Amino acid sequence: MSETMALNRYLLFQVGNELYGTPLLDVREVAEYVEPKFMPNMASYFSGVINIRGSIVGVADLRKRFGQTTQVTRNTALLVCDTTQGPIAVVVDQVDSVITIQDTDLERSPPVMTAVPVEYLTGIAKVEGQLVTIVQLQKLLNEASMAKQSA
Amino acid sequence: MKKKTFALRTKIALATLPLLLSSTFVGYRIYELSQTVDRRAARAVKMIETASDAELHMVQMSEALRGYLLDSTNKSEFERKKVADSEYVESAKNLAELVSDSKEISDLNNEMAKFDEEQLDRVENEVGGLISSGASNAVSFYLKTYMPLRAEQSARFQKLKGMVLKLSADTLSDIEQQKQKEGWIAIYFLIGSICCGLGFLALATGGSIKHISKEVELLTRSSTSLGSTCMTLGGASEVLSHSTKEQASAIQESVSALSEMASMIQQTAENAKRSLQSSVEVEERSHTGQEIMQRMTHSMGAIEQTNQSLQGIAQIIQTINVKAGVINDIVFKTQLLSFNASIEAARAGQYGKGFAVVAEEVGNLAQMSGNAAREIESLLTDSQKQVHSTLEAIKLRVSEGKVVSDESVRAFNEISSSIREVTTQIKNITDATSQQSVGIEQTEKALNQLDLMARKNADTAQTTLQSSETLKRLSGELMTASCSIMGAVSGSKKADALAQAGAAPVATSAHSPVGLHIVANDVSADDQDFKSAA
Repeated sequence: MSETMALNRYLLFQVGNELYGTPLLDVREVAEYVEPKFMPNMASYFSGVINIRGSIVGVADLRKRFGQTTQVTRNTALLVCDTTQGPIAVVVDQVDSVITIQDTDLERSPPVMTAVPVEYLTGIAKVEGQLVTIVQLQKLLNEASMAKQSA
Repeated sequence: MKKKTFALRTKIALATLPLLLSSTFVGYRIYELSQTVDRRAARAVKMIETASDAELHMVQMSEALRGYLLDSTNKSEFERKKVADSEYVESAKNLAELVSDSKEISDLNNEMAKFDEEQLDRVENEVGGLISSGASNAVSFYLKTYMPLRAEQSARFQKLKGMVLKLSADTLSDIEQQKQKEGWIAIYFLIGSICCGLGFLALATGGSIKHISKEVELLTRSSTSLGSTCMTLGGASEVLSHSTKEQASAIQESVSALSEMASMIQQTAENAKRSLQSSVEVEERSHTGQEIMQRMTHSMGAIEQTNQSLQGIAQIIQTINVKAGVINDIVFKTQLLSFNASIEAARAGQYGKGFAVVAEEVGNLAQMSGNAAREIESLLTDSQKQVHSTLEAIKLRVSEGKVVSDESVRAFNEISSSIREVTTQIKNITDATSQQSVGIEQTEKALNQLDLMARKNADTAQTTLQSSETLKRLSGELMTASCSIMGAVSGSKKADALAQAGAAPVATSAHSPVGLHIVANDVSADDQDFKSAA
């Protein structure tokens, strides 16, 4: 029960005006936004690296990745995820909340064409009358780090 | 009339002088003569009287003696005889004085007196003595002695009387003769002196008469023209009287108009006074208005200060906003913490179950705080906006108010100065009206005087009219007088001619305004003389 409960828990965040959700366990830590240090020859959606409690973390800009405009606000935050390449921080416009989404509320294969490749898209969830795009952030970041590597 | 010769009066006086002298002389002579005649005649009469008296006394004497003889007891008869005797003596003395210039009579008188004294008295006394002694021979003595003596004396008396009468008659005839002579002399003398005087008079006044004729002619003409002038003058004075009356009525009207004007000016003065009061009130009110405006300006200043404090409030709101931002930060961080806590709880699995709930609650609280903070923020923003807009509005309004109040103050000042000016002008008006009142009073006085004068003039005109009437009458009289003088001097023919000639200029002068004018001037001078004479 608790396992399922843990599995059903999602972290909601905003990128642009879109509300996204990711499995809670995909995120290792939520951190305040820190201006990343520029690194040469980064991937287009990479912003640089930051220092979180002594460890160097790369910063991926999901907004860029998702084709959204980049703007740092007061609510801009970083979602730190463990990838195969190490921890990667994702810049989001706002961390919204932690919720539990039942499978029944989750539409696995929506008929949409999004900027996120479909293989990382879990589905569309209906939360309090809002539609939330559920993405597998860890996988996406792995892909991204791979893409970085490939780049 | 008066050339280099003497005046006619003088001439006549000179001519009459010898006449006067001669007549005076003649008169004196006649008077003297009559005096002499009277004296002589009186003397003659007295002479006769005295002689008669003497005789009478003599007769009385003898009668008394006879009476005594007849009645010897009557002693008073003898006394009477004595008295008669003394009276005779007196008469004889008087007669002696009267006839002193005729020796014959004087001698006879003296003789008679002597006889009486020496003969008759003695005999008489003897007779008296005889009678008183009662002697019988008294009568015979009387008859023998006394009677012849008495007869002698009577004869003497007869003689004396005759002589006296003769002398008297002589004297009277002499007087008559002298009278006649003197009368003739006087008549001749008078005739001569009259002729002489008349000749002299004719010589002296010959020139003057001509002159007089001429002058009388002139006088006639003058009187004629005077008459016409009098008519003109009468007309003129009538016109003058009429015009003076009109003038008087006009003056009366002027006076009434003036009094009306004075009352109007009085009204104006009162109005000005009231206006002055009103203007003073208005000035006070404008002062009050100014004060109010100043207070308003002060109030504006206070509002400005309030605005500043409002700005302070805005700053405070700003500060609150900053603090709210801090709260937001905290909320954000708390949320992040709650998310991390949730993640940790999920990792903990079964053990983190309770913690997850706590984290969720914390997250919810953070959410609520965040919402509240956002609301506060928006409220603050709204407040700030409103405060700012209010500030701006107040600033605008205050500045507008300031401008308006400044303008009002300026306007009030201008009103005040205008009112002061108006007050001054009203004061000037008041002064002017008071001066006007004084002037009108004086004018009224003057007009009243003028009225009085006009009335006097009217009276004078009336008097002049009457005077001209009188003058006209006088000129007529003058004309008549001059005609009669002419008649007396030069005969009736010439006088008639003169009268006709005098009548002619009246007609001509009446139709000639110029002549009339000149004559009028002369007449006015004459009139003045006439007036002064009057």
